[in-house]
Amino acid sequence: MNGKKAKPSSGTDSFRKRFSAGFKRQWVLHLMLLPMVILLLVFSYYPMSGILIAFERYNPRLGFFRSPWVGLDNFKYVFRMPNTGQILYNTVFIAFMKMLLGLVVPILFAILLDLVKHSGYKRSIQTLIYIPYFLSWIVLSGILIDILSPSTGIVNQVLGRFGIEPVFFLGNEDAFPWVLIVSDVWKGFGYGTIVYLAAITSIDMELYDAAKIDGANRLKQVRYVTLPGITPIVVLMATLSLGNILNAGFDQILNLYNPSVMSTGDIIDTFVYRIGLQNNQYGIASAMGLFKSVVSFAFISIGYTLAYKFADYRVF
Amino acid sequence: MQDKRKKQKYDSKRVRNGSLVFDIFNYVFLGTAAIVCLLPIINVLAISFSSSAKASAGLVGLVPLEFNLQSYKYALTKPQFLTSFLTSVERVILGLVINMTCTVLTAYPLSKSSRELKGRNIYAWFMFITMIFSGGLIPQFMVVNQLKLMNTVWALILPGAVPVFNVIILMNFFKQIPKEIQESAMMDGAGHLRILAQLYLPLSLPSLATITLFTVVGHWNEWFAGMIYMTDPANYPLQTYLQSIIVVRDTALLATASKETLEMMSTVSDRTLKSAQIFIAAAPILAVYPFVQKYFMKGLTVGSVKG
Amino acid sequence: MAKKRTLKLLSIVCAAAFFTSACGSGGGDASSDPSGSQQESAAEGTASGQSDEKPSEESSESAANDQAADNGSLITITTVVSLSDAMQQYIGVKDDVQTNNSWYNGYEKDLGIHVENLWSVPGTQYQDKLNAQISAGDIPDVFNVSSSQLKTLVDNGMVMELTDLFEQNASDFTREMMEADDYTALEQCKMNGGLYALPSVSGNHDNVPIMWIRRDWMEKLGKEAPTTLAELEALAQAFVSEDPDGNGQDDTYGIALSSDVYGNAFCDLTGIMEIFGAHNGWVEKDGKAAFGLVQPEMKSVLETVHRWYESGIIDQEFIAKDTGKVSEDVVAGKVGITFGSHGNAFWPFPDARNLNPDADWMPYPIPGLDGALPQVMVGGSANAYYVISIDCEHPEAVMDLYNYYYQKDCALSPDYDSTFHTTSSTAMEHPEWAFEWAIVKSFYPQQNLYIHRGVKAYLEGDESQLENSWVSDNAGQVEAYMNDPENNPSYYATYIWSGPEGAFSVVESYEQNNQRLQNLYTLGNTEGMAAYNVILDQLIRENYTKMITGDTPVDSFDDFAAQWASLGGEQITREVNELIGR
Repeated sequence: MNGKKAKPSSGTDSFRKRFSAGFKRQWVLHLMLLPMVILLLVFSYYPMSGILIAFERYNPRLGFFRSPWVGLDNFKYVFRMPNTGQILYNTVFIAFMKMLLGLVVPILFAILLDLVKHSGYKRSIQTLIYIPYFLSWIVLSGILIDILSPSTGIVNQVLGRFGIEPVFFLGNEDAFPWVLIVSDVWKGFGYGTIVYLAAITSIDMELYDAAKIDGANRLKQVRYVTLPGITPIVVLMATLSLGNILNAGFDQILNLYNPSVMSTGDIIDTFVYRIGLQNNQYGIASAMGLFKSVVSFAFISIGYTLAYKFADYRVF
Repeated sequence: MQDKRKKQKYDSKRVRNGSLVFDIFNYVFLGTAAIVCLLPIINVLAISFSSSAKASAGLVGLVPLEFNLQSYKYALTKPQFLTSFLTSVERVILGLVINMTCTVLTAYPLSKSSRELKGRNIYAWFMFITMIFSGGLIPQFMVVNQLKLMNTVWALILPGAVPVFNVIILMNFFKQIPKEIQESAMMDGAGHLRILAQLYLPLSLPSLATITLFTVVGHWNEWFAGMIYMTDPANYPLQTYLQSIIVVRDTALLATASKETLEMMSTVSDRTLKSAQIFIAAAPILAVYPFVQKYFMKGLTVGSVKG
Repeated sequence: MAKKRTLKLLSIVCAAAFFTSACGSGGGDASSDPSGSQQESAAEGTASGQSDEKPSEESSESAANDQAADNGSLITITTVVSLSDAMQQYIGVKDDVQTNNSWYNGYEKDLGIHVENLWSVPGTQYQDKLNAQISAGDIPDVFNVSSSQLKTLVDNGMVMELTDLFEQNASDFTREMMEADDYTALEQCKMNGGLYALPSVSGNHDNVPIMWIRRDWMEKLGKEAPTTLAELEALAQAFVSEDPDGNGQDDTYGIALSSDVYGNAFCDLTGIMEIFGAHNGWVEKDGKAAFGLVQPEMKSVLETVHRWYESGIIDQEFIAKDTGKVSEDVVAGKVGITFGSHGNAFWPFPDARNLNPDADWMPYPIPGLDGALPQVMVGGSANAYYVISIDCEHPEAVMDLYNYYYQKDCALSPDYDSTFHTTSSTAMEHPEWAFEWAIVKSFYPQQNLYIHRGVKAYLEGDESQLENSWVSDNAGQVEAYMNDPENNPSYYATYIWSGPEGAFSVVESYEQNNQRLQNLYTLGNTEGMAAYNVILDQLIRENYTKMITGDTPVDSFDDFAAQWASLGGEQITREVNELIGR
């Protein structure tokens, strides 16, 4: 940890020789960062010693540093489990589809909303579609069970009008992941819409005017002005969400899944929860958690690099 | 751009007609979507205003059945609900101050280039890594315990005092502010603190409003830390309390309750009471949002347009 | 999910176990029977006479004791508390009741022990909080754990061995209680030959499945309570197709089943399984212990339930309904038969009766195959365990607390004290009396059956039964209900619980007909269980559910059983047989 702090200050030293006013400025900047560094050291880096549990047969009485070391046994156990592959696939599939639709749907809505001229209507719609974002999954899942019921649920009643047989969304292996994906998009798209709408409104109006003069209709304006205008933020959002490739939505799934859809609905987080906090298998839960962190880290790094290379964008 | 020049052949009348059809479609589509988003809340509201018999039989849809205000009366006179509500308010206020201070103090230096701040990238990664790797619940619990923060509001605030995602949003917003502004202020002898306070912050109001809302919502909705770090339910924040009553019904109550309690329970069912509490808990956020909304749009630009 | 189930189970068991202290407002309210009521009010009079003095006396004493604690003359024992809804209500009525109550004050006055609560959380969050606390290695002197937590704690050397402690410090009365239990609960507390916990005894007589039926529907359709599988199926089918609620709509189903298909004690397969001789537990096969849920008998269960699902006897949406949701159907009058336990007398049936006074849920024995009496599995007697931290300085003090509970709470004890319990009429007035405040609780294993027998004997004319306060509480309510059900709806629960036709008459019939089958393994988790239960539990649930809905043919049961064995079931079976010496 010292190394990290020493480096910038030694840099400061060499800088001072050249430009003392510059040092003064830099010194203030480093000081500003001090609270962040201290807080993260105490509340994030220090607890990271708990990662050791993944390599131990953890005994709370002995602590992280004295519990018997088992090397990679916990990881071996995880990868030998018959359902690990399925759990991984479920996690990635659900998370990826959520990311993808979580990009496309809000962009579509933002573009459509941008085309609404009545500003009161526009603002009301924005407010309304944002509301589900505030509700917890405990509440939303109760509602989903009601509206998706095959016999009385409104969704199946509507499908029935079109002559479609009732679908048991929450009990059908094939439908279940899509219920998760669609309901997640439903909860979050209001937020995304506002982000992209903000990006669209910040596009220079002159570009639109120029396009109109060129006779571009609205579709063309969207195609040639709006979309290129928001590309940077789309790239940014996509990049940031790449790190979520293994976050398929713990709260949501825990409240909606049941044994008959385990094969398509069980994800890393729900599994870790069952095995860790409910069955006290700390080592295995930790191993799974660490595996998840490493994979997420790899994906974020890839995303970061891609964004930098192709969009010349630095996330941080 | 060159492509667009070719499009002049379009018949302007046709475009307008197409627009009208499109506009109608667009308005209807967006309106429907908005209503669909509202249905769950209407359902919760309807249940909270319904009689317990209808609610526990699962008969309530979008309209309250046997309208009454019992659940609200009961919820608002429940001492635990009120103390939890106040704890949440306290947590939001303190948490907001600390989160925003940390966010601003961190975002400003990080918005500088590596040349202006030696080691900038090290700081950035130092911060970013904490977003991905964590030791898990157990060691975090031990730290809070060792620091004697258990059962205090600080246990809910300090472990998450540096909201990395918000820092990134604000940092990118800061990056957008033209360098010239800072340079001329520096010429006038202003230091970083003054530049931050007098130039950057006023220019970043939209972004600040946005992350304020995030912070408030985050603190308001969080429940797990409340459960793990509070040793006395009297100190529970609202959502933790709600979780304790919503997730599992304590069936012992029916056997142990007094006759008066049983009578009260037959008019105030779990379901209507829970719905009323859910709605009361969501109301402050729903009430704040429209006021922040006008800043919200600009605040989320994330500085990306500039790239 | 496992946690949720345990909690529900626990609360139902508890609801029943502490029923006596809770429900008895006695004859004071029961104006219908003059002789009974006089006797009762006399008894109440004495009790309340005591009560008028007690609290003030106690509070001044507790102040004195606080000083004593400062002087160091008291032993301090730390603990953690899971707050039931009732306890939270009491705190709402009286702020300091959690530390100033009959129990804590009694501990100080009679035992010289000061109890300190390190934390207390609502019951629903206790397990998660405690697991976090255990994993951080930070535990109090004495606390309540589940069997899997017990294993973790013993394996990690975090709790004391109590063999000698119990031998030397258990009171005679405590020993009597253990004997009445055939030492079943104590056995459950043993690991590797040593005693590692004090059991919270509820008694294994109570944990038997009971079939509950809407008697009003049955009578309306002119049917009798089923005693065979065929009759059960016919009745269930009639509930589906003959419009038992008479609303002219096809909106009822026969048998309730929830998405938690086993191990849930209410609306799961356990009760249905007994019909077929399949059991959720360890049964004897060829002289060895074998796991019931993968035995061939289970195949017929799943075949039948699948047929029921196809024919609409089982709700088509059962897999999306947890127990809470299914109980909404019960309350709403959509279903006619449920398999559960005696505790359901308190939940959810009174709700159903509140909504619809005609809803008359009554308990019946599990029917048999072709009229033969089925065996019903009984498990352990302990529903929770009290462990003592290895760092506790005064383990003997904890043993004192354990003895003290039996001494003060058990109505068979000579020192039984009525100010250590509340009744429904005193709960809000004297929340400090509630038995819930005791930090270790353990009951007379046959308490509930004892009450039922007492109530029955009283109704048959044996007035002396009223001398026991458990019986008198119940007898008063049951009698009041029987004389005037319309005006005593709140006694309905008591009536269907301890009344002459109540749930314990069914338990009694199992007893008399020798239908009880002991689960061969009632000890804590083995190595294999700790490692594989998560996977195996999921495997069983998934396969059962799919076989019921028909997604997987029941014919694949053998494959499933083989898979169970290969994924750890074989190891667990070996361990269990070793542990029980087969």
